[in-house]
Amino acid sequence: MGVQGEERTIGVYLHVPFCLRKCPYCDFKSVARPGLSEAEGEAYADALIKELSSVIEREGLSNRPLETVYFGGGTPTLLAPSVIKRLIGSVRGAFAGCGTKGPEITIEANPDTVSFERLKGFREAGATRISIGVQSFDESILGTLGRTHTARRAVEAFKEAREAGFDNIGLDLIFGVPGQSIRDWEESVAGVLALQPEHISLYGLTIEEGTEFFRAYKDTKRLPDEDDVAQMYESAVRTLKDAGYRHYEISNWARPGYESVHNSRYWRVKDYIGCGVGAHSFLSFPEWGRRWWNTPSLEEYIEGVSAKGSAVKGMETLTREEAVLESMVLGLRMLEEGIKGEGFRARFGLYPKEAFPATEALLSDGLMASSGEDLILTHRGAVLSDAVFLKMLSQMA
Amino acid sequence: MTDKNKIRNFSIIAHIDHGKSTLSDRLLEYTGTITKREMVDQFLDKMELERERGITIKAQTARLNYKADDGVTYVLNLIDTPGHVDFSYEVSRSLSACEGAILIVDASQGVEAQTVAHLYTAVDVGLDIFPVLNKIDLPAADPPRIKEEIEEVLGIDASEAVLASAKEGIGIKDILEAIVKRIQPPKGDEERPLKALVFDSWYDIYQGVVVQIRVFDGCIKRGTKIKFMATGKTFDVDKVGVFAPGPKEIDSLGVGEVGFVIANIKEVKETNVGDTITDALNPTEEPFPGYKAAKSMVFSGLYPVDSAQYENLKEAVVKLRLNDSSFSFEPETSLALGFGFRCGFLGLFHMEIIQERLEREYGLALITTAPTVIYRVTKTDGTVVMVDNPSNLPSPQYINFVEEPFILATLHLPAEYLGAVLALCESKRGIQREIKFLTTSRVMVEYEIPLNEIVLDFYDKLKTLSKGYASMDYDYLDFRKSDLIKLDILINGEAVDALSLIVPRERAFARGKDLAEKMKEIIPRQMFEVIIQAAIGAKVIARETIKALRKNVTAKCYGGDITRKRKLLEKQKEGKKRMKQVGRVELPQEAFLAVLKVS
Repeated sequence: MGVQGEERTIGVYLHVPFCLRKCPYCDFKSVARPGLSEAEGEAYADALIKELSSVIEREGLSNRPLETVYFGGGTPTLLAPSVIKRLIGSVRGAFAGCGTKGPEITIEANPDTVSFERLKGFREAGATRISIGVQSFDESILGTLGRTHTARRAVEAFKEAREAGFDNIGLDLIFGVPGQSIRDWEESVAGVLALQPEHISLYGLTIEEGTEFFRAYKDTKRLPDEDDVAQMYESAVRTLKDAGYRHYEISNWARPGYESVHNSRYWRVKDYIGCGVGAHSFLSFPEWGRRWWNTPSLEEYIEGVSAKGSAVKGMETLTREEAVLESMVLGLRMLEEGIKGEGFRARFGLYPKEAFPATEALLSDGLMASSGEDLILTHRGAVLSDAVFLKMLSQMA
Repeated sequence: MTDKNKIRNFSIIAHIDHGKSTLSDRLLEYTGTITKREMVDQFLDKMELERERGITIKAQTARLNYKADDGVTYVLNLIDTPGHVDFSYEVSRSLSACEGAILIVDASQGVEAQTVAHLYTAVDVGLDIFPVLNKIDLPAADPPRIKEEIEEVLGIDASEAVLASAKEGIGIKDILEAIVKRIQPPKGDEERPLKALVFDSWYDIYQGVVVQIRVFDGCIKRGTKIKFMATGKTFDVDKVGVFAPGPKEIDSLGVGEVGFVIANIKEVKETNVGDTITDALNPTEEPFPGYKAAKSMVFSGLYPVDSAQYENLKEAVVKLRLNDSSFSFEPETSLALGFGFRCGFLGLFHMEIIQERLEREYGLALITTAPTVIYRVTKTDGTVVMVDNPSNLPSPQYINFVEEPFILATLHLPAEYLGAVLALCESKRGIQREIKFLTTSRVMVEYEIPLNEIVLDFYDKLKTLSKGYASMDYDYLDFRKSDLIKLDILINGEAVDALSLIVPRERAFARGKDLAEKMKEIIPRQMFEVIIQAAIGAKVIARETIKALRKNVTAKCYGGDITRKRKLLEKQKEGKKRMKQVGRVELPQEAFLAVLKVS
């Protein structure tokens, strides 16, 4: 729970908006820049550093211990290891320290943009964790998703990362892809398990407005059947559990102790600063906290940061009601941790069950479980979580 | 008072987007009745809803002064007409107030179905009609072809059709000249007792009811003691005036004139469209012919989605009724829906308009139950009850027989659709009365049909299978015995009263099956299994299962963009506001109207 005073640490997200090509399903801010020049990479890194230092100064954050750094994209591994190294150095230098463990520093990677040499470079630059976008081990599904890499290349990239010294590797897969059968999916999950990564993310394909997929799949009949997609998710839940992974968040599994610290900050409503094109930030003070987000345009971003150290496109101050809702919806996504009743009450002055009268019916329907005032989603509640959240929202106290 | 020879009363007949409103605007502008600056686009369509739907619901008028080429200044009264079959009676009254009509036809699209229906009414009323080919500035305009079509399809001389583009202001003067030359001046006698036709009325919060009239004989002025001949009610005239186009008080309205009367009238139901106003002290002998009392033909329940809004709904229907005497309501209670109103309408379209106005003007979210007609039930003990809500149909053991209203439907259509239209009428339990070829290509068909069948989807089907070219008008006939029974819909074992309907026995089985299937399509999957059953009494005749929701989870990486996730949820909540919870099941509005989507 993000209460100022107790919650001192901070997380930093750095968005790298360059890709080899734009994937047709992706709605993150990115531009296709296969031959990203060193100069452009350096210039972008300069902007990130400048933006971060101006936010730290404006918000008075320099005495915060740095808990996490996360390079997301786009494709951060399109930047040279030397650039990543410079960025990590700047971020670390900008804050007071980082506690005894040292910050978790994650870099997202596309299998096609890494080699053993580069991975070694990223590791030496200070990255402690790598998240590789495998998406599928089926070549035809990779083709549908518009990925540039093969399944074999993904496996190689994983092995190279291990050799390069990464002892915390996450792999991502996507399910519910047009043309994907349950069997295809189960093979991809098995493929990931065979590599024994520390962390696994399974994302359901969501057709987002403004993407190529949105236009291509207007007719939803061409998408996999809802029941099949449900079965994909459920079969993965079983398989990963049997393999010893903890299902700690709706889309995320980890070996004990390898949960993503950075992403957990989002779900625990802790402070983070997002720098770069389209990045989002959250600070839990004053009152119920506030969020802001940057322009989605690379040109505007570079221009804004060089002119005034900032390229903010929008912001919002949360109302109490919004803060209550977010705490609930984000907290319940953490399937093991859930919502802690006392922490919730410390922030909002009432217990979750009081804030959400629908809880009672959801408990008796077996969609949620409680221990005292603490709440978690059951397996069935997780699978139906959007309906659960909507029900809670519809009857908010 | 204006010399009747200098008056021209006319209406404009046009298909929905062939440019009636734009032309009205240009006529107002050209004659200086309204300046460009004052012009809210399409001045005559006042209600927001009318603008959006591009149709006129209430009749509107405007008085234009036009100095013609012959040097004389004429008074031109433009009387705009409503545009839907539910209001065909109002249309006929508005047209009766005129001597002529301009027929607008799109110079590239040609004659459209809706035009035809209105044109026949205009011909029946005996108006002078001349065609205008509009949109001649468009590249696809083909005046010679369209003229030929007008003559062939409508049987109207198009050789002297005016070529115009209302949008570009082309041909406006020619139209005004044609109105003066080709439409006859009003007839009538100043010396005879007052005879004026009511063709519209509405409630104004400051002045009471405003009545729109056309004077046929005599004269009306402030102080005249008037009598409405159908209701027998008398009032003292407070003000008379004209719309130019804003209201303007004048001394009197004489023969041939069109204008308004304000006489301290409290309710629109005192001022029925089609009624005749006369001098109470010196009454005319015969009222204007063709009066029909407005009668609700279609009934449905209106309920607030949120029960807490009942009082607001009550206030809204009371206000709306002030302005619309063809709309009626009575409180009713439904086990499934709570407190609401049983409302009567002229037809399905009227029902939609009322619902939309209530939602829009009063900010209500409403559930409308399936429309039904009124049934006459003779019970075994000899008593007769009128049933306008299917759930109130007595149990079979108490029913001696049931009668339902029949109408005479008159259809005009191009001959090529005859086969399809006859098949439709037969499938709706119609009894053929007449088939008449008006020309080699146009047919008139008359059928006696249970109103119940018309209420459901007859009109939509007719339009679809004739590509919009068939037009329909109907008159109420009588009540006739039919073998009718009540069909219930059960949701998770509980009968939902608001979903019951009355159907012919021989179709009950098929209807129940179709309805259950349709409900399955309409009701979204819920967190638990939902069973839909159709039943006649205790006998279940159809069953469908909506499987429980398997998965509803956003397993997506949002990065730090939590705002978006929250907004998505809030948006879904808005969508959910349209759902009515019946028991534990959430039903969308469409579920209550599912019966309109089957058969």
